[in-house]
Amino acid sequence: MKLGKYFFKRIIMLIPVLIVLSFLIFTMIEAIPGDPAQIMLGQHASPEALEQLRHSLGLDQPWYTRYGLFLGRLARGDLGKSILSGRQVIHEIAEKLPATIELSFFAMLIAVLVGGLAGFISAWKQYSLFDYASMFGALIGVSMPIYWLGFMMIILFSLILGWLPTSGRIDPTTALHAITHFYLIDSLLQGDWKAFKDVIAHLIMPSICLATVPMAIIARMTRSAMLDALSQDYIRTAKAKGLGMGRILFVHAFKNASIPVVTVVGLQFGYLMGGAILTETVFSWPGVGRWILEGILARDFPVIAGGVLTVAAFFIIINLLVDVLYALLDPRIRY
Amino acid sequence: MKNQTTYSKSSLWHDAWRRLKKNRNALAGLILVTVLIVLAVFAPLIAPADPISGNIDDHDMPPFWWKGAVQPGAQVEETEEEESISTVDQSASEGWGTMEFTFTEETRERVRVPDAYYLFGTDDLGRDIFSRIIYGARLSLMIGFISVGIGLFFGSILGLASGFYGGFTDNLIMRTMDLILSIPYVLLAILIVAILGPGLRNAMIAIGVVVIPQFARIIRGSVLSLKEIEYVQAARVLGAGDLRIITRHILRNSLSPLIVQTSLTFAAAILEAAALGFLGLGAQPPSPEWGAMLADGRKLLLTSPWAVVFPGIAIVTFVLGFNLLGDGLRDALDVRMKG
Repeated sequence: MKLGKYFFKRIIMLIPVLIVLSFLIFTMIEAIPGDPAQIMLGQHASPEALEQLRHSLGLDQPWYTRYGLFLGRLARGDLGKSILSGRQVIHEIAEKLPATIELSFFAMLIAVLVGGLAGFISAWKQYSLFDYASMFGALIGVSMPIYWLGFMMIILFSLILGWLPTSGRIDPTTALHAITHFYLIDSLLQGDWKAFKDVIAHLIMPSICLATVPMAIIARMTRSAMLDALSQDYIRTAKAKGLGMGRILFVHAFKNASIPVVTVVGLQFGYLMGGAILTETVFSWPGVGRWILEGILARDFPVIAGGVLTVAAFFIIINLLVDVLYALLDPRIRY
Repeated sequence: MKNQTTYSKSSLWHDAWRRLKKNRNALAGLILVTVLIVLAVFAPLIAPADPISGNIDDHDMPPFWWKGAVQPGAQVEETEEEESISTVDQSASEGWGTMEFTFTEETRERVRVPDAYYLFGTDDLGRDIFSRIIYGARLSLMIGFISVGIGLFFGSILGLASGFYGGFTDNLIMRTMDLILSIPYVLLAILIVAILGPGLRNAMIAIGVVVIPQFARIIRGSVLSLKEIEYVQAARVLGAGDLRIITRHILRNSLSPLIVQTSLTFAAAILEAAALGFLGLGAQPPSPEWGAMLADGRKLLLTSPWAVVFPGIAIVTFVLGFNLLGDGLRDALDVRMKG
């Protein structure tokens, strides 16, 4: 099992990356101005109380001791308590990460299906009206502030047409017992079709909003990769053999074009993490992105640390999966 | 936009300009970018009103061409009939929690006659959206110049050092650049702003830092491909120093990809700064920065949608301009770039 070995090697290689990452995050949080003790106790706290809290938080220790403590807690899954809510950060993540994953998953699905199809047709019918229109659309897509697109969708679909809800993950009157916090799965587990439909309705606009940029990039990439593949010698050979256009397009060209496309798709996950902050802000989506932003604005240090670490870990795992997929697609690749 | 006339004698630039003229997209981009520059430079002459202080009597006025808008100087009979006043559920619009309301037409208690024609309407403080957008063009242009300047400056130094000296230096610099590139750029910019503190200046610095790796990569690539080329070798044999080789031979010959990247990064910087402004981390409220205007106008989505529609259109238009120009220049200057 060569692939299994490759996968294992990649996982081992992750350990130093995670250590460097934890150190970077620790340093960044140290660099953010503001005294957590002061924030927790407020402006008018007495110096003695501040001193005591600093001591109990370990803030009076040298940085390497604090880093050690930070790592130790991290290893136990203890990310501290949020200053704002007073709740365990790890519990908040367990609640908010599924919301972001659900949103990102649907955004990526839309981006890959629509963007891939548009790029495919554009390459097939190069210089057609469809090609021009979709490539111009893609250019608009990367030039547009997605949060503004979100507002425009809210005005059209919620305020004028009244088809879709403006914000949130689920209607507050819909009682849904959260088990996994993936609301789609939860509603299915409970066989609650009304809730399921409600969750879908809430997902539509945020996913389209978040999908815009990756969709545009995937469309452009698919088109150029397909055109590149179509200009190769083996395509000419295939044509000369008298193969049908469908077989040439799908089997010969698309298979070879899929490698750069997969790379771009993988890269887009990084974008999604950033775009999620904007999308979640527009649609009041209770996910990790908005949570981190609120943490940063309120200088809620444990939330920033936990949030950024979660996002980074998620990002690293996705990259790993993309690399493995890559190795599956192209047997020549084994780093 | 990039000093075509200055270089018109040299055939490369002459050629590029000729090809650029033929490319309709690029030309459209060039026109949009020129419009942005003109708006920014002549903002006080073009804008009909002050961007910061508004006429509070004229708050929430629709654009004069908007359906149902009252024209300035219109004679309106003060009929205060209580005919079917349908109200928007105010409690629901608070905090964006849940909004259940029926969108009803014409919810005016009293007809207000505006003092002036407002092309894009006014916001809740009676500020002219059109004037604010025009002044915002200045900010966007400044954001572009400063962030791209930071990226270009530090990216060039790092790229040159990396390509020129190779070995350990190269490894150290480029691995650091890879690390920066691996962090989602919106998140990285947000973290930098969180460290430096919110505000337009720090937002520009953050964006500048985020774009450094792209420039470093381009310069390094150019250096590597030019280092071994004959005329550089010849210059070295003639006794030219590192600095002379870098400035006279290498930088000058990596201009084409740099110009393309500059145009595309300009677009990204404007977009990114607007995003930071929207999140409350960039330009702060009274500022007519487009992203901050969108954040400001968000609470007016129900009552004065024009306060949200037009700043967004401004962003799309000019970011599209820089993107079109960048793509066009890439074709015209025959630059091959990855990704």
